[in-house]
Amino acid sequence: MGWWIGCNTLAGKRYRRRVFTAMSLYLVILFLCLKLVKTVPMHGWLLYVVALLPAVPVIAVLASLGRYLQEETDEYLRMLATRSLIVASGALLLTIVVNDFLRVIAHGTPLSPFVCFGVFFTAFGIAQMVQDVVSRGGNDE
Amino acid sequence: MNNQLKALRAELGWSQQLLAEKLEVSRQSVNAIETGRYDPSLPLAFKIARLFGKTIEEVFIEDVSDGE
Repeated sequence: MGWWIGCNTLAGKRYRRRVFTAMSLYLVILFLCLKLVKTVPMHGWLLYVVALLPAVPVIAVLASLGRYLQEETDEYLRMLATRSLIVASGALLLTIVVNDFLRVIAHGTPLSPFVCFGVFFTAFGIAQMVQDVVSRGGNDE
Repeated sequence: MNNQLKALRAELGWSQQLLAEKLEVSRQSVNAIETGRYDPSLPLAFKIARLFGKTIEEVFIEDVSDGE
């Protein structure tokens, strides 16, 4: 859902192309890394490198967001994307804080892997879609 | 802040899309400005005023109830 930037500006199109490329690479790298770890016995720094490889395209997705904000010349659309990032950051922090309190006070379990990433991009996508629907409304008389 | 954008656009028979193209912004931006959901930056406000051959004060009217 995090790929959602619905505008058809040049910056928006470039953003979607970059994110699509990064997510495609992510799936390929993740598949290869999991296969490699299962078939080749690994330990030490090599295992760390293989474990961190799938994070590279994820970093590229975050960098794409930053580049979009730099390249978008439409100030209103830039504001909408910034607002969505704030919503996503809030949702992420809220998730972490709630889980921290549950762990410290109620001996709850830590969050499963990749939950934070999912929460951030789901919140970002929902915020973008809601704002997109609202901003597309209105009469053109 | 209130504005005369919709009225000025209607006078010329322009659609939101056409105005957006002339301003090099999205139609959502024009719609948001017209409906008062977004106040444009000073450069964009100047661009809008210049396009209609008006001053900024003739296009954008300060809403005194907005406070200081």
